[in-house]
Formats: sequence, C-alpha cells, structure tokens
Amino acid sequence: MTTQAFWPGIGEICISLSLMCAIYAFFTSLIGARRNSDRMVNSANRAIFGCCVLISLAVFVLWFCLLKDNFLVRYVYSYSNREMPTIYKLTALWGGQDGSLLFWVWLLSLYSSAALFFHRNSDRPLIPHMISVLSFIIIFFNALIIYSDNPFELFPFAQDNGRGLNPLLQNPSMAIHPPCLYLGFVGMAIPFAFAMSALIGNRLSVRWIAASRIWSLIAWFFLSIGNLLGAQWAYVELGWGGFWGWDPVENAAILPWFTASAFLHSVMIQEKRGMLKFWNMNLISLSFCLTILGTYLTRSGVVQSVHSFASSSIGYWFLVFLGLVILFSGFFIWKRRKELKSDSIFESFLSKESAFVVNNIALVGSAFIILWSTLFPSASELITGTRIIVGPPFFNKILAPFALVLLILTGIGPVIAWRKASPRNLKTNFTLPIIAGLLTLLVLALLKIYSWYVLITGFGAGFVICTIIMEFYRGTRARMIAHHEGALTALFRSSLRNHRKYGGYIVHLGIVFIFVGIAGSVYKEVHEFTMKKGDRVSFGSYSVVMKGFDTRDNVNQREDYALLDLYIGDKFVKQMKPARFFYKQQQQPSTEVDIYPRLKEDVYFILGFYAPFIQQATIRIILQPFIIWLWLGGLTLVIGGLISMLPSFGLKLESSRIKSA
Amino acid sequence: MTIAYYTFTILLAFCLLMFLYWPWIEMKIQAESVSRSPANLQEYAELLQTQDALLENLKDLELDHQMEKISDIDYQELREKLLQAASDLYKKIDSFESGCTLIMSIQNDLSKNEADKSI
Repeated sequence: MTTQAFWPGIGEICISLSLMCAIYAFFTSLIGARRNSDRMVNSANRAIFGCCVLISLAVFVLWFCLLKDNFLVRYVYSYSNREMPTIYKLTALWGGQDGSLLFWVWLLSLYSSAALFFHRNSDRPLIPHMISVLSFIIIFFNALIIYSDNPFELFPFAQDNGRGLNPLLQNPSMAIHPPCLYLGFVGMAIPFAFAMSALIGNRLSVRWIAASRIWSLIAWFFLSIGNLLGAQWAYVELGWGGFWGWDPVENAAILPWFTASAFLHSVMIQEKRGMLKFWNMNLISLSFCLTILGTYLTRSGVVQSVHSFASSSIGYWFLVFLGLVILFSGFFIWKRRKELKSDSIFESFLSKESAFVVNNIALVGSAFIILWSTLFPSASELITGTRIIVGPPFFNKILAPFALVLLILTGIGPVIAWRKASPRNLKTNFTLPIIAGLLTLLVLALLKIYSWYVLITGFGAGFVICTIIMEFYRGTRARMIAHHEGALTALFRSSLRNHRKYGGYIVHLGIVFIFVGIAGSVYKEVHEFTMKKGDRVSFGSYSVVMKGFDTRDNVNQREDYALLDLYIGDKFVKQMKPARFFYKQQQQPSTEVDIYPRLKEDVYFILGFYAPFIQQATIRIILQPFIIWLWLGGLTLVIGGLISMLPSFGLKLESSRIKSA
Repeated sequence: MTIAYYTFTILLAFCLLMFLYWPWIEMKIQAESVSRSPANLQEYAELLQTQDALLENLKDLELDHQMEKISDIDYQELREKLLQAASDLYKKIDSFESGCTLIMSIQNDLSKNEADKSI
C-alpha cells in the first residue's frame, strides 16, 4: 500500500466503523429503552459520539487528500486541481455528490452529539428513542456512502492533475451558502427525533415541544441564511440580473423553510393554549420529510436544474428512506392521536390563535404550491410523455397573494388579543398601524406607482413596521412603570427578558425589508448597448463612458474586463469593470458582473458579447430598484434570529436545580 | 504502509470497543449511587420543566395584559387557571423534595454506617 492509498483507506475504515457504531446505537438504544437500562442507553449514546469522531476523521482525511492533490482518489480528481486556490479545495468537499453526502452525515453526527449532550439531564426520558431515530438516519447516510457514493474510491493509477471544481462554484458565497443550507436541512433531523421520541415513549408533556422549538429555530435560521446567500450568489455570479429563478433545486431548498416557519408560529399556540398538538407533530414530520425529498430531487435527476448533481441511482435509496419515514411517523402520530387532542377550542376568528392558523395555512399552502409546481414537469412527462415547464411568471403570479397575506399577518399576529379580540383591543392596537399603512400608500401614489403588488406591499410594510415600533414602545413603557426604570434601561431589559418575542419582531422587520426588495424588482429596467472605446450612453440620471478593455491571464483562467466610467448627472462616481472569465481546465466561460449599490437602486453591469480584435462589446445595464433592501432584510433577519436563540435564564435555573437534586 | 494501516484499524476498533463498554465499567464503580432513583429524578425533572413553562406563561400573560393585548375578563380567568395549576404543581414539587431529602438523609446515614464499619 502506497502513502497515497493509505489515507483514503483510513477514511474508508472510519466510515465502515461509524456504520457499525450507528447500527450498535440503534439496537442498543431500543433494547435499553425497553429494559430501562441506563448502561445500554449510555453505551448507545457513546456510540453516537463515536460516530461523530469517526466521521470527523473521515472528513479531515478527505480534506487532507484535497489539499495534498491526491489524484489517486477519484473524488479529488473530479472536483479539484493543482491550480485551485486553497479555499476552493476545502469547499470541494461539498462540490460533488459523494463528498456532499459525507459532509451531510458529518453535520448530522455533530448535531446529534450536540443535542444528546445538551439535553442529557433536562430530557433524559426522551434520550433513548432519540438515539434510535438519529442512529437510523446516520445508518442510512453511512450505507449510501459505503455502497453507492464512496468519496474514497481510488483509480488504479494516480492522475497528473484533476478536472477542478465547477467555475460557478468558485465564488466566496459558495464557501458559506451550501454549508448553511446543509446545516438547515440536517438540523431538521433533531426536532424530528425529539418529536418521534415523545410519540414512541408517549411523553408528550411540555418538554419535547420546548426542545423541538429551539432546534427548529436553529435549523430555520441556517435555512434562511442559506437561501439568502443562494439568492445573493445567483445575483452576483449567474449574471442574469435576478436573484431567484424558481429553479427546482432552489424550490427544494426553500420548501422546509416554509413548514419550519409555520411550526415556529403554531408551536406558540401549543405552548400558551395547549392547542394544535396534532398539527405541530405533523409539521415537524413534514419539515423533515421535505428535507429528504429536497435531497432526492437534487440528486436523483428527476428534475432538471443548473444546481443539481449528476443523476444517479441514489434517488431510489432516498425514495425508500422517505417512504419509511412517512410510514413510521404517520403510524405513531395516528397511534397517539388521542393524546394529541387540543386542551382548548378556538373561541373567535378575531384572535391571535386564528391569525396564527391563517398564517400556517398560507405558509403550508405556499409550500404545497411550490412542491406541486416543481414536480409538475416530471409528472406531466410521466403521464403524457411531454414535459410541461412551469416558469417563474407562474410562481410569481400564484404565490403573490399568499405572500401578501403573510405580510399583513406579520403585523396582525403580534398585536391581536388571545382568545377573542374586543372592539377596544382592535381600536387600540390597529388604528395607528392602519394609518401608517395608508400614509405609505399615499406616498407611493404620489410617486405614481400603480402596481397593485407594490401598493399592497407598501401598505403592509407601513402597517407592520408601525406594529413593531408599538410593541417595543409598549413593552418599554410597561417596564418603566413596573420597575421605575429609565427608557433605555427598560428597553434593553425588556428586550433581553423577552428576547424570544423581540427577536421575532426583528425577524419580522427583516421580512418586511425583504418584501420591499422583492417589490422593487417589478420596476426593473434593462438597457443594452453595443460600445467601443470612447462611446458614451445615457439612461435615467446615469451616463456611462467606455474607457477601453483590459485582459489578465493566469494559470487557472483568462479574464477580460470592460472599463466603464459611471456618472450620476455630470459627477463621476466609479469605474465599473464587468468581466468574462474563461476557465482553462474546464474550458468553460463565466460572467462576472459589477454592481454599483445604492439604497434607491443597484446599477448592475454585465459584459455580454466581447470581440477583442475590434475592441467592441455588448454591455447590458440593469437598474434594480430597492434590491439592497433584500440583503439588508437578510442581515436584519439574521440578527433577529440570533437574539431569539439566546439561551434562556429559566433553562439555566432549571438545569441547576436538577443537578442539585 | 500496509502494517501501519492494519495497526491503525485495530487500534481504532479497540479504542471504540472500550469507549462503548465503559458505561458497564463506570457503573460497577458507582453502581449504587446512580441506580438509587433514576425514575424519581426523571419525574422531578419533568415537574420542574412544567413549572418553568407555567411561570413563562404567567409572565407572558402579565406582559400581554399590560400591553392591552388581552381583555380584563380573559386575563383574570386565565390568570386564575394558571395560578391554580401552579399551586397544584408546587404542592407536588414540595412533597417530592421532602421525599428526596428523606431518601438522601437515609442514604447519608447508610454510607456513614458503612464507613464506620470499615474503620
């Protein structure tokens, strides 16, 4: 055995041992739970930690092979080459199917170990069946790696150089976007495991719901970042001027986000009123199933997408696994249907409970529309033999009403009364927000904006922002009166004490900004010019002067730049350098846009056709109104999510009391 | 390299087996102290968790009332329900804690006796 073959061999051994560990954890935890044996459960728990260590070793081995250009390994040859910068050699771990499966199971083992460690005292009764569920998922992914997509597979002889990573993936966003999405997808396994454990052991008290909520929030948080980074990557890297194309893989990534968002809202109704227990259990299972379905769609070749991995037989494995998960969770939810009955009933349509139910219907409805529209081309091909494509206009048209309902509910939900809103409550809480919404409408009308989508978004934005300000103001005022504190101290302390609630409001603010960013795209302007050196063109308040071209050449790629001076009125603001790169190894061109961002609009430059001999090029310039609000909204959402996830003082108190007992 | 490969594999497998078998060794060492009342401890933990949830609900109810998000009648009704539930829960926790104190003092006496005998 050569040194080059030694490390991949170690990687394979680690994966095989981790599979054995997971099988051991599965059976030992089941037997341990049945016999009520602490030793067996502890040993099973350790087996999950063992899996985590072994899979981590395998991941480090693959990274080592990528960094050392070990082209005896088929995966390294396929997704890396000697010229690639180190950062992209590291990101090549998730650039291909085999490596991304290893990355998936690594994250799953890390998540599982963290959940089992942090809940070892507070949720001891749930632990044995949690181990069974998590180890079952680990077994599935480990088996896939060993029997179908092994990243440590070797060539008979080492190759001189590799093929390299897809140039589109050689972008800084791609270093963060896939891990975030995976963290979101894989994270859904933890609340699912808590829910299933509570169902199997019939321990449906308050605790499983609190544990599931925090882990769902973590998964939701990463899914949000992942999707936003994906949109940002599409905007700066794909060079078509948009950020969301309703591509099947994009849709697959956002589906669990909708159901997880629905769960994070409806779980509050269960915590406060003991309602929607059956529904919440279904939402958790649905979110997990959608992550598996999304992975199936991305990897099976069943849908056509620029983002998908090459089609392979792996899809059938996922279908079987998905079927097992649906049968298993469906059986236990049905079995415990009596224990999952609501403690209270809906008393009025005008109540917080009803607002949350409508919010859930809109979120889950949107998810099903996206799912059906994503699968429709494949379904139509299967039935009629003709692939009927469902394009972005269809998605935009059908989802817009759902989105607007959700936006308005973002304002109604937090301020409407529990149980039944009285006329006084409605007047106190909704007069100012409605006035704010109407004032925004008036401003939009004065700006001669007549698109109904933009008008309703404007009204919703004004309405929601006003409710958020009111909530902060009232919370601060209540604390000032109760504790005789100054305004700033009261604001800080009330936000910290109710960080979950106020973090949620900041997330809502982020959602409003995102809506504003999306609404702006209705007024997108596209201009196309053929230009040579010295030409000057004008559009709106801008003008552009072509200063010439620049070419740079290195081992990995050739870069052709157009040098364009941008003026606002007569004032020079910046030299823009849109480019076309040609990746030599992959023989593949790529468009590199240049953007001048402003709060009002982005000026987006794309270098189209370029003829170096006559020094002439086609320049496409897109004015993207309010797009920066989309990214600012994403940032606000991240801050709000982080505040919501802050650990609670109550939990610390509880665990210290358990310890002292 | 082949020898290194097999040595590494065997070592890894051995460490793993020891790691998995450790709960049996560990529990033999401290068998009595752990196995005394795990079921009771779980029940106690669940009571404390329910207590935390109830307190959280009461806190939210107060805030919602101060912010005029709930009518006075509903507030009174819900508050009474929650206080009644909290009172029942505190009784359970109290009886549990006194029971635990009793078990712990018996355990302490037993261990003292055993220590005296060994001397």
